[in-house]
Amino acid sequence: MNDGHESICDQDATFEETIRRHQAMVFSVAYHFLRNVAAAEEVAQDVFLELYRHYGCIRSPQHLLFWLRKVAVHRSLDYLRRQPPSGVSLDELAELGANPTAEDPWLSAKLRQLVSTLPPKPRMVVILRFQEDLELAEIAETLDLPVNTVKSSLRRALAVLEAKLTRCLGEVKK
Amino acid sequence: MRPLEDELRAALRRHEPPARLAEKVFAALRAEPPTEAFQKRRASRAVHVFRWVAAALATCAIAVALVVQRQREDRRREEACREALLALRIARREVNQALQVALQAGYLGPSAVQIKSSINAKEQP
Repeated sequence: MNDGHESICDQDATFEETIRRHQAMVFSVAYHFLRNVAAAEEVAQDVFLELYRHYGCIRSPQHLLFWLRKVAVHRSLDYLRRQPPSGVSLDELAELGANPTAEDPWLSAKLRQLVSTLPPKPRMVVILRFQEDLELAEIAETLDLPVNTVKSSLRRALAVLEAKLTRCLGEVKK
Repeated sequence: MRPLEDELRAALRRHEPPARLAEKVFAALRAEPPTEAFQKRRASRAVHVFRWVAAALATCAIAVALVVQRQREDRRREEACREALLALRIARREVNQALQVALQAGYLGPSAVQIKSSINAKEQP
């Protein structure tokens, strides 16, 4: 192992702790956006590799969280841009009933599926709003969009989701 | 049914990634050459050390130069002192000789004889 790799080992402990603390957030942003475990894992790995390269630029825990969220969002958008469009992965089917805390697993799965049908930017707005509980201004900053655009995207996305969900529930009742 | 926003919060809950994500990141890190950031850190550490060494050397050089300068000035002052004393001694001898000649020629009165004898008395310690 050369000198560079020994030094990498020296700072492994804190970096590993950072990964463990934030991996769920990074992975979930990518997973809810891409709806594919392997793709989300690849994006998460890329995000943490990128973090390693820029570790010296991180100024505070808040900055770290903002940085990770922003890079995770943009890497996910880039990943989607590179991939040809595809249907829902089998991962989503395996996930049904896997989350014991969800009150209605069918509804949660249906909503995730409906969210995945949204265009990329509104989809990311919804994910940041409801997964990360971010305010509109924070979403705007993360996505480099005006706050009003984020606000209207969210309103439209919720309307679309509500309409689609109502239609699905109607079909189920029939 | 709960409001749509609550349902979305439940549906979009965070998931833990598959196990060993950190290990995979480290494996990827070890597989790639030292990063640019690492090289920059190493270079900046070398620059830091170099700066300290350069500062220490510069301080030593300035201190040595000051001491040498001081010694030169002291030597120059002593030399000037010696030359001034020599010049005074020569001047006194010349004046003495002139007085002697004047006395022998009888141009000077008894007061001049007293002056010469007082000069001679001072010359003999």
